[in-house]
Amino acid sequence: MDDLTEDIVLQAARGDVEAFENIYKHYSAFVYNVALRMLKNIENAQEVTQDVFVTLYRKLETFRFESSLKTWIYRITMNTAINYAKKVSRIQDRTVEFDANRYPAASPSKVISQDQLQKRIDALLSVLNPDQKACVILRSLEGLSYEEIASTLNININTVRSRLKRAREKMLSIKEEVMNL
Amino acid sequence: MNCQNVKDLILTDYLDDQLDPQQKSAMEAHLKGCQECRVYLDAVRNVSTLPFEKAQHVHPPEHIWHNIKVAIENEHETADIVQETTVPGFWQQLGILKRLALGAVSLVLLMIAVTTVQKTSHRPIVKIDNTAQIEYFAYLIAGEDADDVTEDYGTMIEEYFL
Ligand SMILES: [Zn+2]
Repeated sequence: MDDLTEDIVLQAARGDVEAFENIYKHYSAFVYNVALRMLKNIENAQEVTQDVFVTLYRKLETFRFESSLKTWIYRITMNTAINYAKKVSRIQDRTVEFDANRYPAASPSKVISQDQLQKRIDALLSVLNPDQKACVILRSLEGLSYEEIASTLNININTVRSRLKRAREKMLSIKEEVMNL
Repeated sequence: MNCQNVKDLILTDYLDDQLDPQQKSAMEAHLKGCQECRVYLDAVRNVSTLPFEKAQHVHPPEHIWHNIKVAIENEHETADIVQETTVPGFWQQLGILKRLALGAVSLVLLMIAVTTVQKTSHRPIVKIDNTAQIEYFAYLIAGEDADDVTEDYGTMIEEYFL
């Protein structure tokens, strides 16, 4: 929990908004970045971030310190973001095919800019379903171990493996197009 | 270890550094002598780790905390009003009422369910919600049902090194 003491968490659980702001400061970047990658849309990511923290505030009362606060917050974040992504993909197209036209190629250059990198990441994630995306984000962007991913997503560790394997096979299949972005 | 096993591990535990030292050196011994797997490792790295390592982390804009604060403070106020305007005992009474109401509602729902089942059971064709059905088929075709099946991962990763 680093600089978040148990006291702060207890105060926040009793409804203290200032104490809760400390929790927000500590975890908001994680929540927001995961949401951005899961949803690829700033408005949706902001909505998810708000939802997650309002839910946390409501549920903090029931937090019992049996699991770590971090795992608990990560779990609520992933649940909210995955459900939102599933809802969105049900409404929008169910495209799993990679469409190179949606990602216009950048000018040829050896050093790639943040902008190009962003496009590559978006393109790579666009071929994954929300469950696979969640595993890739937690592993490759947030650096969680397989065990941590399993407990965050409440799945078996071998399911983490098979989701990552499938996700990476899919990303590999669009390698040529993506590397030219 | 054959190339297929090595490639599976390249996609997962090797790439993510989840192997113990022994397993890791077995992998590296194979990679040393196998060009095909080395090329594969490079390709996998290029799409599944390298771009993500350099990605920027951003902070949410200021107004997000403001919105959250407004939402939770509103909730607080409503909760306070409810507490002030109720006498002790009220919630207990409400509790009993709620339970009675719940009982009545469940009974009605049960009756509806029974009649519906009786009605539909005479029909040979059961109507299924179309969107759900299409999604389910799309899911099957995409092979996503295999996602949670760990069989293809065999059993424990240790067996790869037998
Ligand atoms: Zn090989």
